[in-house]
Amino acid sequence: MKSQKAKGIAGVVALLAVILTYAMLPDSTADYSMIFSIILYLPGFFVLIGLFEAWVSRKFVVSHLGEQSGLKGSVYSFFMGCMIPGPLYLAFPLAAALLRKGISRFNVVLFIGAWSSFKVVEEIFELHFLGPRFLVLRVLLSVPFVIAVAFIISRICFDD
Amino acid sequence: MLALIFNAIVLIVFLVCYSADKEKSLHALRLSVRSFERIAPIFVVIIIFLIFMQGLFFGDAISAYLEGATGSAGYLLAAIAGAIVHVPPFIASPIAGQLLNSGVNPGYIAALVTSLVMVHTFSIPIEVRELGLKFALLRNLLCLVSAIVIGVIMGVLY
Repeated sequence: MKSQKAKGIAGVVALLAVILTYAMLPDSTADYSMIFSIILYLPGFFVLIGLFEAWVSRKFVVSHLGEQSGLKGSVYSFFMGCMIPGPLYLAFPLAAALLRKGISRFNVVLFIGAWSSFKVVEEIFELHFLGPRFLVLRVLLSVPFVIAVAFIISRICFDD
Repeated sequence: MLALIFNAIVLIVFLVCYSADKEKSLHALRLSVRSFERIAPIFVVIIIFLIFMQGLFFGDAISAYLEGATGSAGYLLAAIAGAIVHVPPFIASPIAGQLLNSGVNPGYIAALVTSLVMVHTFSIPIEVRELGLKFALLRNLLCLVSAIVIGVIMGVLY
């Protein structure tokens, strides 16, 4: 735990060093808005994970999203992925927490797939800039692939 | 803006929980800190990596490549570009929209957008740590293939 913390501090110092170096370059064109938008999400996100781990019981997850939850559990997982905002790599710690609580393998990959492809907030941008025809076609085409990927991974992975 | 709304909602949820059970909610915060500490080192490395990448690949470069691309190589190029680059949707969508208006094959754009949202090569370290190496590699590979196939179908249908 101590070395973990030391690594964390070293990392933060390195990050600050990089940002400062870039900021001081005279013709710096780098855009940091993305980095800030990531960092802004972090506090709320990790509080959400903590609340989830402390408050939601294993029994609840198993009965609603577990192996026996059937189609309803998959639909829940899918819409949960669509609704929670945030970049994809924040879905992974949440998915790991869900797995520890007993979500089924298929549902967890479906959750990640829905998170990546059908984020409600992101579709608004897509609708605006690419138009309804593009959006509807892409979403309709992506759904079967997301389901297929979830099916294949839930069969092959998770040997442990 | 969206991030602020998100944080505000989480704060409200936390306050509701806190008023219901103080001890349990403080325990939840300790769990939050623990899961953050676990990913923090990788996270920092990835952010540094992203800062360097910002200068390398950006909208103009992708546009230049895709506008020149033809045939089946375009789908592959678009999918790979989408896999390597990381841009948030509010930047990616306008670029993709511009490409669509300038007459680039909609199939290429679909492959690019699909791969951009589904395949995240730069965050594979986080994926490996949370869900395992096999999972991360398989998911990204399958999603890359999906992006190319979706692109090809879009090229026909659009």
